[in-house]
Amino acid sequence: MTVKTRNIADSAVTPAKVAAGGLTGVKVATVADANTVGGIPVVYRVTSTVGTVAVVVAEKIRVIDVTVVAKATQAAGTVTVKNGATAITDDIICAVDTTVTRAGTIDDAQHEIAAAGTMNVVVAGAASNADVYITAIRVA
Amino acid sequence: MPMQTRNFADSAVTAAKMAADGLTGVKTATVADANTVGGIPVVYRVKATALTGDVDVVVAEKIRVSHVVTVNAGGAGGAGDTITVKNGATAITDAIDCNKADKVVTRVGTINDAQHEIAAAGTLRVTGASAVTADVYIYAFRVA
Repeated sequence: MTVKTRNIADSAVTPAKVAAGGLTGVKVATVADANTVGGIPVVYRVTSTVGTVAVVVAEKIRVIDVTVVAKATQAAGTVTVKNGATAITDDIICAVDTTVTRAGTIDDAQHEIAAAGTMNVVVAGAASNADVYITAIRVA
Repeated sequence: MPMQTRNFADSAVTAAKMAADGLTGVKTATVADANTVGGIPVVYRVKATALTGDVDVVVAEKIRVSHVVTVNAGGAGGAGDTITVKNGATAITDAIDCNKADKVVTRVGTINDAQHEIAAAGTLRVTGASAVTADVYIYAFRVA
């Protein structure tokens, strides 16, 4: 017989009972404004060369920060995070190998991406090459 | 009769068995100094709308504020627009300057380590000056 939620006592599943290495954003709650219990952020990781990497996000999210780590020195290299075709961030400079740069602007008209929406990470420059970390929270 | 902790084998609850959409900071562990397993950060989200004064959040757990990000939203800031994150009445951060263009992301400049830990049921206060409008994201982790 399958064990249902009602068969489990509140707080009976302690960390030791949870399998290691499995938690992702699927299991985290949405974060409301002025939340009194801290919400859990999620990170999207994109390794990018020239062009666009499209990430179809499973849940509705709000992008709250972006960090770029340049993996090569590349004149005029930039990274832009977009909601579909529309920019969320500015063109984040990605020009000097190993240098960390962050989003300078976030457009609050575009920062929420619907479930099954496309988050595009667009890299420009002659030989742009970067690790891009997009921090987000789930929202209703 | 509900199953108790002793009824579960260690690691028996895989991610697939956990209900989606439910995890918050309530379930995260505290983070000690020099932790060898990564702790889980939590985020508090506050909307400052033409704020002159305070938005108070009574935090459920004891936390340490580790980072703050503001995003100008709804137009450019004006002279004197700032956001300060406080532990009750006392500042944790500097007055983060939001007198910037719409959409500009600004990160905290200073954090006072004498104030960065807020007790359970303490007040995380976001203080706005000069009718500032911004999305404010406070990063923290639970501490013992």
